Amino acid sequence: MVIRPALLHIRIFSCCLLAFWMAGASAMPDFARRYDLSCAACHAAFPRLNKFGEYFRDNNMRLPNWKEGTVSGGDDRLALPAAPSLAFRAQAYVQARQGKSIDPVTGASENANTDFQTPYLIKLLSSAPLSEHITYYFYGILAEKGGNGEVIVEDAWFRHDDLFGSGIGMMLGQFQLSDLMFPRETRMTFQDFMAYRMAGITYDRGVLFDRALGPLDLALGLTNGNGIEDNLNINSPGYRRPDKMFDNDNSKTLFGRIGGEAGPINWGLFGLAGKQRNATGDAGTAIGDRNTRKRVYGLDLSGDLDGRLWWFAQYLWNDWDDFIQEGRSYRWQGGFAGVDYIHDDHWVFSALYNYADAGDLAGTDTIYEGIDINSLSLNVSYYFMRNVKGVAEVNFDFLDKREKTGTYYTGHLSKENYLLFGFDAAF
Amino acid sequence: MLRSEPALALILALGVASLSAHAASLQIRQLRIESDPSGAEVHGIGGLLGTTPLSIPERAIYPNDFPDERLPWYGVVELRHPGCRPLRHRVTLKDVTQGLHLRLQCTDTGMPAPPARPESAPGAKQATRRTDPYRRRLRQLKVLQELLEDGLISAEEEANIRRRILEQVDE
Repeated sequence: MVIRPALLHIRIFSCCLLAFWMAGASAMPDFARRYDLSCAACHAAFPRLNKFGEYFRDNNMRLPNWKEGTVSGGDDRLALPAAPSLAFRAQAYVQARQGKSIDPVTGASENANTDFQTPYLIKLLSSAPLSEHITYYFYGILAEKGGNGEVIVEDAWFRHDDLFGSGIGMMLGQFQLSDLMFPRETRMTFQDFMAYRMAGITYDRGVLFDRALGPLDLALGLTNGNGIEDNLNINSPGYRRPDKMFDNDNSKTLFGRIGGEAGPINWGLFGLAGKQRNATGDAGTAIGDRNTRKRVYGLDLSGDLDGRLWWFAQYLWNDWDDFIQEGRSYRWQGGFAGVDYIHDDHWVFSALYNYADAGDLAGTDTIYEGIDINSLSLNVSYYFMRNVKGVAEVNFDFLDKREKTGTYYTGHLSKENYLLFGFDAAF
Repeated sequence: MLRSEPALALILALGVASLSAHAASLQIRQLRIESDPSGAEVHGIGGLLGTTPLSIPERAIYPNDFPDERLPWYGVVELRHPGCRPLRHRVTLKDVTQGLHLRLQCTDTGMPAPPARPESAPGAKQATRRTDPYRRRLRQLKVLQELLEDGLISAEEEANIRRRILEQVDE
């Protein structure tokens, strides 16, 4: 989760709340415990944030009275959280689906038209203010999507909200570039914001600066551009050194967003310029050693009606030079749009439409033909408690099943319709 | 060994039945507010919510959307009663679960008592002790303006009290 660029509201927020919110507040239930607040204070329906939740997030994830729950031992340069911040999120699903696991090279397939995805994930989250201007946040996931024996840390960062008194916020760590638009973790559907994943603008390591400038919010960041899994030995001096290389090349990815409000509509323009390794090998499943140019441009729009219906839309245009063959440009586009309707304290209805056209990647006989998507996901959430919900979701795949056309088993070889039920809880 | 389709159907049926039963038994959470004396107006982020005793939905305290200028009222209720100090209170999780009973400080003169600090502001007590008289007067003037706007005092009363406050500053 990336804290979006500071809004003008933040200053107002801080001033107003300081006067009235002196006692010691997210899908982070630890905030609710720390500030003695109901989850409803920050969430329209977990995990979707309401207006106050967005204020809280943009205020470096704290309330003005954050120090009240800390231990200083008489040292005014110390503000330890009275207890380590810890919260959990857990999901478990049972699914009926048409999608299969197909080896793109051999075509060997495995099929499970019903599936107990239990647990789907167990997430441990922690966040707290550490000083007047510094907040940390991280979460780790145990056994994500059935990967038992695995732990992965996704968001993990420090953020200073007023660098050298300049009003510039700086986040250093691991985060999703796409969080500048719509954070995936606060979506209501099981179905993902697929265009973000396909464009490769999710998790990366780097730094992000943000500042409000008049009515505009600006954000500019640099990342390694290779995701969050590289961990290379440094052995050029002969004997391997204890440090590790997180980046695998000398290039960095530059990205940013400029956003604002036009009446009831929030808008934003996103841009990214960087490098990515080419795809090679059978069906393009291997990573090559060429650094190829990557450009992404995006437009996001969102708004809400009376705090009951939220709508959002994202468009991405991608330009990947030399990605498969040298001297060739691969351009494709995609996006998504959705609505979340809060019917009452118990029922929430959501719809998410995903669309992407593989464009120049079509017919390449690589797995990237699979960027094609055209689906509608309808979700119903029933809240047993503020922090525990039962979900039901159905996905309609509008693409036709296609037969294998090249050497490899790529493309839309099976339909992706699914029906899913399950639980999602944060505590 | 169970075939997967019947097992799935059974689980789904149980899930739907459980959910339906639960839906029938649950009520949307309400915040019960009582006061002593009763009949106090309860103001919140959406304006006047009613008079005590009353029950209001939690979302009346924590609305999903609100005008920016109402932010100071988020999560807060203020009780107003003629002859009593307005009492502002931040609603906690405990209040929502257990209900809220607030005692107003009233005078016999019929005149509103000087404004009180928010009850739920433990940190504010220390801060007030440290603040200078000018800030205190400024706060009093703001509350005075609010009382006038809400019709709890007349313009003449407001002018008299304002004069007294300003004279204190001059001293």
